Order: sequence, then structure tokens, then C-alpha cells
Amino acid sequence: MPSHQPSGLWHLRLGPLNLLLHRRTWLLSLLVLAVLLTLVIVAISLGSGRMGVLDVLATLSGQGSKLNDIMVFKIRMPRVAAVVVAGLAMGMAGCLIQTLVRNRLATPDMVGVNEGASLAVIGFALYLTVGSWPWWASPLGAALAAVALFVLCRRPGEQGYLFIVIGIALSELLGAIGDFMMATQPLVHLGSIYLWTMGHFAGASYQTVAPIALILLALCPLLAWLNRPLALLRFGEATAQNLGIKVAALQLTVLGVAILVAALGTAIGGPVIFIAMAAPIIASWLARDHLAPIWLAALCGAVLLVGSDTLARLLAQPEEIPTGIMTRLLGGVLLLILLLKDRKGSD
Amino acid sequence: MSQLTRTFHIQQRHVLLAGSLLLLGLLALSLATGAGQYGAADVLGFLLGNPSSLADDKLAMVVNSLRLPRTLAALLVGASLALAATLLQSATRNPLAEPGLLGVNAGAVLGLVVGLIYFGVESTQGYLLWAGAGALLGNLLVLGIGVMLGQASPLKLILAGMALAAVFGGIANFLLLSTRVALEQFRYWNLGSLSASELSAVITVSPLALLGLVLAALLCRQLTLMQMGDSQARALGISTTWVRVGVLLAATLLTACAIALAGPIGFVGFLAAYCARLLEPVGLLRQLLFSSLFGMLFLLAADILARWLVQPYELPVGTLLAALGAPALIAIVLRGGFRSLLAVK
Amino acid sequence: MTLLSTPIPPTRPAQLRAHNLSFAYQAKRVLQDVSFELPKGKLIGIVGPNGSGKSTLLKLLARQLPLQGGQVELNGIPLQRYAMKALARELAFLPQRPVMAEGIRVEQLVQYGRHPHQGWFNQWSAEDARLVARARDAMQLQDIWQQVASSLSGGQAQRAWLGMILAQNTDLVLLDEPTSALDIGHQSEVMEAVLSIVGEGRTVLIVIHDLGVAARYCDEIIALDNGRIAAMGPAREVINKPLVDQLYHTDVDILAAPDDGAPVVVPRRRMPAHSQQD
Repeated sequence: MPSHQPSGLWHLRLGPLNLLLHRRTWLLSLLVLAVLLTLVIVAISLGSGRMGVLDVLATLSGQGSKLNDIMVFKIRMPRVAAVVVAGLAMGMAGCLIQTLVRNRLATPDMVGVNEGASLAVIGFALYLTVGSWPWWASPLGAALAAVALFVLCRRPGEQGYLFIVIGIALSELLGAIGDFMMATQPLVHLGSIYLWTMGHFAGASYQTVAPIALILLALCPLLAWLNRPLALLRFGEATAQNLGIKVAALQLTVLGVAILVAALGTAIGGPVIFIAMAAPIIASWLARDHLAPIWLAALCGAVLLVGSDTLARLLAQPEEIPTGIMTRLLGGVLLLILLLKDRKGSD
Repeated sequence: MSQLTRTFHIQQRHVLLAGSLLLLGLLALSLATGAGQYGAADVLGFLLGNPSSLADDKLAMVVNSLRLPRTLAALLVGASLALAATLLQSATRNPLAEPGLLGVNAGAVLGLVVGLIYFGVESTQGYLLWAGAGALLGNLLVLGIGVMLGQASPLKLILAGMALAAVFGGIANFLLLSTRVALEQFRYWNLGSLSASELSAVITVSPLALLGLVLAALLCRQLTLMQMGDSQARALGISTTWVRVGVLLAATLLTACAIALAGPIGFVGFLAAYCARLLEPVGLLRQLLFSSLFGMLFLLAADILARWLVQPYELPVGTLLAALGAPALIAIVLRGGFRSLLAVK
Repeated sequence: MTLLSTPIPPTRPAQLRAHNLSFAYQAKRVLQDVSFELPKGKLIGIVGPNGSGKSTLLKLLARQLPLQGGQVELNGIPLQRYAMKALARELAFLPQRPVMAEGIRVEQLVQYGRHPHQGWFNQWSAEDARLVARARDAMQLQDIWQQVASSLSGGQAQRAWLGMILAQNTDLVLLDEPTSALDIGHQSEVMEAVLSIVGEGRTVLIVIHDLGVAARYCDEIIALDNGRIAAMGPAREVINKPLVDQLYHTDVDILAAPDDGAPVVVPRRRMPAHSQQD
């Protein structure tokens, strides 16, 4: 009897479990993970007070000097961990949105959600909890902005461009208010807020990173579960429904999760825009699959952000440039290239 | 010019009349508003040459160096931004185009930052030069990209504008933060405000704005004909490239003047141009007329509000306009404006 | 197109009944009081002039549109009571202009047809392997199996979609104008593919706007006129000159095809051919 084995996939049989794994994607994911770990070690070794890579490795395995221990575990590691988590989150969020909206130019960045997050943080830091702010302030602001966006545009999948225009208007509005609130204070009083709003990881601590990382971890099973039906949404509502998908519910869930994950990623070091747009595109190019694989996109996001962060730290020494500025620059160029490349084809 | 001599519709006539009256009213209000104890009567007296008012030095200072320049600047900036927006919308055939959304402002900001940091600019002429050069660069890039994208996707032009704004903004921020020069003064300027207006600045800038206006007026007829499509216009003997270059130059001049005086201000241009197009969908010269009228009205009104809302302090007018203009844009778009544009997925 | 040597009979021939269906788009009434019981194991064509409600009827039966008036019963159970995936295992629907995901290969498309039978923990089974292979062979997709679907010709693409539908392995198949944009060669290709699906014992309901194609291939016909059923029954009985005149206001000759006697609809010309005038 003829039988068909899916090509390019591994069939994993574990007792009652029957899983299909995309071979190229999983191999690449391991590769990118290796790259990420290398970059992390390099990032830890760089900076003022340079440490050799070997010193870092020694310290990590428990054989470093007391001074190096402090340097690595108390100072550098929290920052790098923060960057990695933020990058993973942005990569995931971007991947979800791009698959949902079927548009590679889609990103959670330009729709006002980031400005909402910044505004909340500014509000808290300036007027409520003077100086610092709770880790949930940023996601709260992002969530409120997202709610406003949804109230105004209910069907982003079908009304793609309306969504974008309203998003732009919202981001201008919230951005102006935030800029104004900051401008009323001299820079010295602003402390770390100003830099945070531009995407800055210098003061990141485990206090902020840990709860966010845990929430993201808890979301992973949901994401894994959403992965399969999400792939079917690419065929349009009629076909997806034919195959048994509750289209409207799925679209709303995916959008909600995407914005939540983006908000969490933003909460760590502030808005680092364009990572969410770039990561899935790179992942899709690597995997040679038009559907960007979500875990690979997350890893690519982490690699991109660690790279940008390290660049930002090095380029303007001894001053520190907020990482967000680097991602803004590189991402803007990438967006332009994409727009020009796509000009003959459809979106 | 024949467009102007053609009879205005009843509606347009009413709007012209009402608008002009409103403008005069707002002018008076603007001169009368501000911190300090001088009201309309005092200012009026001063302007009319009342000797007792003239003798009051403080009143003279308030009027001459604060309120009068500010009011004049509001007129100039409002009209310039509105005219620039109308021109850009015509040239790119994109109803959402405006200097703020297309990255032109960001280009000017970058130019100014470069001037501030590396060339220590301080004078109005200096601001004008650098902001102008940056605006020109931004304009060129955006319109160049627009040409490359083709007419098929007007919204991609907006995205390109945002990408450019991101790149320029990124570089500008990078320079500001890495050198820590002029950061404080830049932050406030970046919000857009008329509070630092000086009469000398207005006077320096006016001829250039006027030049932009004249250039636009001269190219009006050709640009109107180009609305039908480039190939049709060329068949009529219009050289579309040169017209576009001319219009681009005019829009740049106007934008540069506005930014040099007041910093980057968004939404005024867009709203004024939109309202002008509602009133006069076809004739460009008339659109320019109405657009500048609305621009002056909106900005003047916003500036008065900015001075009045949180007395004795004042809000930067750019922030106020964003707070009012963004919801206005959302309302327009939700009520079905630009439907054909947004129906394209 | 060869019939499979071991056709798999439906385990439970699906019964689709419509009761008094009515539907309106905003103010415009599109369907009025439509009732029927679908004959099992046949190819049934829904025909009618433009705007007679054909696609709407199909979409209502496929639960792609919400019911407004009336009831649809599948195997005795009202349609709304079915869970999404359960319905997807009973009934397959192919829309008129299906959206093809970018960059997807024919193989992947057909594999997706198995989705309603899979779960997160059971992503691939022996049954899936067998049925995908059957669908590939039945639709003769071997030559284009690894090709990107968006680069296929019209006829090939439709066969690929039908492959997905076949892999879904449902008793009922609903197709919305699968041959509209195709030339006569591809049309024939697709209709033969549809016939082979019917040949396995499934019930296929197909909306066709071309009466000639419907007459040539369908066993039974449901004719709609202005949202109501004008006629229903075996094609040879239903398709006659009075019906064609009622639906399309045009004069035709009805011939019998030389090979199997199926009705062939030939429009009568009013303007004589040029050569006759010389």
C-alpha cells in the first residue's frame, strides 16, 4: 500500500506522542543557539574593564577570581540576560504578528504600543513612584495602548492599512505627551528614564528580568499549541475554517498574545524597535520557509539584540548609547530595503 | 491665475469670509494673551499709537519682543506648513503626505543637530541653513523612494517616511548622546514651540518663505494638470520631472522656514491641507489659498490655547497639536476618509 | 484519470438535509424557502443565473455563513451543533478563489488536508501517510509534488486543492465554482478529478455557472432561480429547453453526448454566420 512520508520533517515517536519536526529549522535553531551563546560570552567579556574570553569561561565554570566573579555575575550577566530575554520576546511577537497579518512589514513597533509603555513608565517614574518604576508599569501602558488600538480598529487581519494609520496616529499622540512630560524636567532629574525610553539595558537587574522571563516561559506551551493552527491562517478564512479552525477566536488570541509578549519584552529595557520586524524575516530566510518558525525567530531576535547592544556599548565609549538607537538605525535601513525590494510584488 | 478669477462657490466664499474674520479675531486674541497683566485694550492702544501706552516700557517689551513676533511667527509657520503639505500631497498624489509624516521633519532635525554639534550654530540664519539642508536631504530621499516605489502603494511611502525618520532620528540621537552637546536645548526645541520667536528671525525667514510660495504659485497650473497622471500631462507638454523638482524645492523652503522658527511641528499641515481639499477638490491654486488660511487659523488657535491652558506656564504648541491632531486624524480615517487608499490591503 | 483499484466506501454515507433556508445580504433577499435532501454518492451541480444564490447556498451548507432562516441537518444533527473539527471531518469546502499561502509546496498543501484528523499530540499517523499517498495518486500530483503551488497552472492548482480536499477524507465535498477561470482543457482535467472523487462513493455538491459543464458531468442538478429551487432531479430529466429559457432567457438545443448520452446544451444562433451571406 503506498504510503507518504513528509519530506524535510522528522517523525518523532515517543509512546503515544507523534510529532513532526521541521528538520532544517531544528538544526538551524541549534546552530543559532550556539551563535547566541558565543555572542553572550563575547558580550560579557567586552566593556570597560575588559576580560578575556577565557577568563569569562573560567568564571562561569566557577574557577574565576573573586573580582571576576563580581564582574560577571553581578554586573555583566544580568544585563546580557536582560538583552537575551528581550530579544527572544521581540522575535516571538514579531513572528506572530507577521504570520497573522500576512505582511512582512507588520511589526508591533509602529502602532503606539511602545509609546504607551514609555508613557506609563514616565508617568510612574515622574509622578508616582519617584525615580524607579515597577516592572509591570510598562506592560500596563502597552496593554492600555493596545486596548485603545483595538477599540478603534477591530479587524487588523482584514483592515491592515487602517490599522497602520491609526497606529501611527496613536504613536504620535502618546509619544508627544511622553516627550513633553520628560522635557519639563532637566536631564539630571530624569535619571535612567530618558535612556530607557530609547531602549537601554544598562541598569537591568534580575528583579525586572526574572518575573518577565518566567511569564514568557509559562506562555511557551500556549505558543507551541498555537503554532499549528496559525500556519493554516495563511490560507485565508474560508480554507482555514474548512480545516476546522475557529478563525476569529484564533486571530484575536494570537494578536493578544503577540502584543502581550511584545509588551513584556519592552518592559525589560524599553522599546527596542525593529527587532520584532527583522527577526522573523531573517528566520524565514534561514529556514527557506515562507512561514517563519517561531522558535527560530525568537533566537534570531536574541542574536540581533545582543549584537546591537554590544555595538551600542562599544561604538561610543566611554558614553553609552541606548541600544534602541542602534536597532532604530539598523532597522530603519532594513525597512527601507524591504520596501524597495517588495515594490513590484504584493505586500 | 485664471483659477482665482473663476467665481468661488457660495460655500467657498462663506468660508473665505468667515475665515478671514476669524483670523483677525484670533490675531487680536493672540496679541492679548500671555503671561502678564496686559490685556487686549492695552495692546490695542499700543499698536494704535496711544501715547500713554507707548510710554509704558514694559508693555512695549511685551508686545514688541514677545507677542507680536510670536503672532507673526504663528502666521508664517502655519501657512508654510500647510502650503508644504498641500504641495507634497499633490506631488506624491498621496492624501496622507505631510512633512511630519514623511520624515522631512526628521531630516531637518538631523541637519540641525549636525550644525549644533559640529558647527556650533546659534543664529537664526544658522538654524535656517542647517535645518533647510537637512529638510532638503530628507525631502529628496523620501521623494526618490516614492518614485522608486511607484504610484501603486501610497501607504508604502508613509512607511518609507517612517523608516527614514527612524534612521535620521537614530543618527541624531546617537550624535546627541555620544557627544552630550546641546542635548537639553535640543530636547525642548524638539517638541515644537513658538515661545522663542524673535522678530528678527521672522524677518530673516520671510523672504525665503515668500520665495517658496511664489515658486509654488508659478508651478500651480502644471501641477494641477499632473493630477491626471504623468503620461497625460507629458502629452500636454509638461515636463513632469522639472515640475516635481520645483515643487519639492518650494515645499522644502517652506518646511525649512517653519522648522527654523518653531521646531518640528506635525499635523497642522495635514489637517489644513485636508480641509482645503474638502473645500476645493481640484484647483491647486485655490487649495493653496485655503490651505494657508486654515494653517494660520489652526496654528494661531493652538498657540493661543497653549498659552492659555496652563497659565502662567505654557505648553509647547507641537505637543498640543499632536494631542489634538492625532485624534482628529483617527476620527477622519474611521469615518471613512481615504477609503480608497485604505481599502488596498 | 483512473479509478482506484480499492475504493474505500464511506462508512456512513452522509445525509445532508436543508429545511426552508432563507438568507439576505443586508436588505437584499438572496435565498427563499430552499428545502431539499441531497442524494448520496452522486455529483450534484447547483446551477442558475448570476445572483440566483448558488454560492450563498453552498456556503450556508458548509457553515461558512451564519444561518438566518431555516435549518441544515447533517446526519440528523443540526449543523450548528457540530464542533469545528468534527464538522471538518464530515464536510470539506473549497471556496471559489482559495488563497494560496506563499511559498508552499503541493506536498505540504495536501498534507494540511489531514489537519482535522490530527491533534497536537498526534501530528502524523499511518492513516495520514496512507491517505495523503492516495490523494496524490488519485489527483496525479506526483509530477508536481515538490513544486511551489503558486507556480502551478490553473488546472494543476485546482487538482492540488482537490488533493487537499481528498486527503481530508470526508463523505461530503462542497466545491464553489472550481472551473470558472479555466480553459476547456483544464476544465476537463478538473472535472475528471472531481468525478474520481465521486467514484469513491462520496457525495460532491458543486456550484457551476456554466450550464454546459454541469449538464455534461453532473448526475443530478439543483436549479436555482431568484433564490428559489426551480427544478431538482437527474440531469437528463431536469435540463430541458423550458428550464433553460426560464433561467437564462435563451433558446437552446439539447443534444445527447455520443459516448454516454449526457445532455449537451447548444445555444441557438440568431445572427447567421458570415459565410452564409456570401
